[in-house]
Amino acid sequence: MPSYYDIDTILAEEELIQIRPSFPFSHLSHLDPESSNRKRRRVDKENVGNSRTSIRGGGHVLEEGTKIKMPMWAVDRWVVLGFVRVTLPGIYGSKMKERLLADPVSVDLGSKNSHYFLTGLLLTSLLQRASQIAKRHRSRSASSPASQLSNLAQSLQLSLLTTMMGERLRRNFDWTLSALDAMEDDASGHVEKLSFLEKRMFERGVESSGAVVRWRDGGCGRIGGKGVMKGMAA
Amino acid sequence: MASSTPTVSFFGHTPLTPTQSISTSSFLAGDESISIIPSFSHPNPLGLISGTVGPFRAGMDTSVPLWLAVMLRKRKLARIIPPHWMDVEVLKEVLRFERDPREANFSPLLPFRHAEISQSILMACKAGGGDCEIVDGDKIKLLLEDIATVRMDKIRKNVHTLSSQLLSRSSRVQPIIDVTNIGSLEMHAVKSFVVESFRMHRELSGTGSAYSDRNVQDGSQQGAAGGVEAAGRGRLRASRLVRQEEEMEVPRPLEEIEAEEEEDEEMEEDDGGRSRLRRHR
Repeated sequence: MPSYYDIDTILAEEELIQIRPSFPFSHLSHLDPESSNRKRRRVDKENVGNSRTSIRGGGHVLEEGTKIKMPMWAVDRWVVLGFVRVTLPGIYGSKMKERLLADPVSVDLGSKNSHYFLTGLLLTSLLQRASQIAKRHRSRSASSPASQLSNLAQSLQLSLLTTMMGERLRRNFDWTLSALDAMEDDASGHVEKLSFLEKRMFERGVESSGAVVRWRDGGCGRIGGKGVMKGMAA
Repeated sequence: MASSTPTVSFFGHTPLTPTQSISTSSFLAGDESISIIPSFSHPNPLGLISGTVGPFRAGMDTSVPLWLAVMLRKRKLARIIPPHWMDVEVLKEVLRFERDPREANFSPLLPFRHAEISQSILMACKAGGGDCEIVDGDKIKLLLEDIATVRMDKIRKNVHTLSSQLLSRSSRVQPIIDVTNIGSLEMHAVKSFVVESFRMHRELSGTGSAYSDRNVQDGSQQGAAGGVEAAGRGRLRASRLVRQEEEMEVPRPLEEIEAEEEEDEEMEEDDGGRSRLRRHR
């Protein structure tokens, strides 16, 4: 599961989150890709008929409510402290939830976001932390939407749980039991649609059921000391 | 000779691959007691590490570990008396029990390592040659395969039921799967997947590792006491680029900060050569 040094966790935290500052951020206008175009248009309007073309003054502020997208790891602290308002990525939005409720097995999570569940787990944790801190500072800052964050976190958590532990889990389990029994059944079509965590479950299940099938067919040989000692040393 | 509880793993907590686990299970099945009729006599008991076996008297049945029985059978020094459950009628009864839709559990007539024991005995009789003391050995083998198939299907249905009723819901109560009377081989086949499923359920329910904070519904009852501690759990708490959350969230009174700075200055005057970085918090 998530760990500071885990590559998959690092990759999962690269997911872009749409945020909107709760107040103007100084010297961070460069975070908004459209800010330079807006500045140019504003200067052009102001300097119509003038020869001056320099852009100066008041252009380094990221205005309140500006929509920007940043990786989750970069906005973690801002979200927790309530500096920004967060919007869930589209893959966790209502349309995706409807598709997953209608037919969870057919949704290709492998291509949409291979770290779908891991990212969702980290996002849920982030929203819950922000909600808890917002509750503590309720008397100090009336703008902290603690209940909104809490509801968002709960609905996301429930969506992830229902998706992963429901029909997709059952189908994954069936494939692990039958992957090695029927040689004509190709599991690659099923595996392509799986997220990283589901693939890991599938691989472990196939390894176990495959070991049983091999044992039934050929028995087991002598237990080698080398392999076991290597495992103990590791 | 039914062994209802599995023995402790010889390798303790050493992580084993599935292949190694099954090999280990087969090895441990060799400790099961089985009756043989030796064709030799040995008046003195044999002192082994696991215990004493014998004395052996030709034509008189005696109880020995399975590994010894297999070894003697392969050398045609003994005939194995199959366990009571390795009988066509008993296995048919077990198969009927397993196929009964009203029975959600597994049949208690088979021991935990019945697959390993039966395979060892059948292979030993085949390797030893001569008249096989296992009557209808092929039928027994087919019945055992049918039983394994039906039990695996039952496990599959149980996991499906668990998934639809318990795992896909967030619950503070940990879901439990009943595996009473399950076989060793069946357990090895599904253990990795089921254990991983339960672990994922704990993580997604918010009762797992450090990245899963408690459900917010309980957070409101914990109040401020649990808020900082729960909020402190997170990836960036370990980051050296971020200060402690308590310092960032709760503004300290100016008097307190000034008092600390005065203390630091006093300590630096005493210490002389120490770094000044302590003053910066």
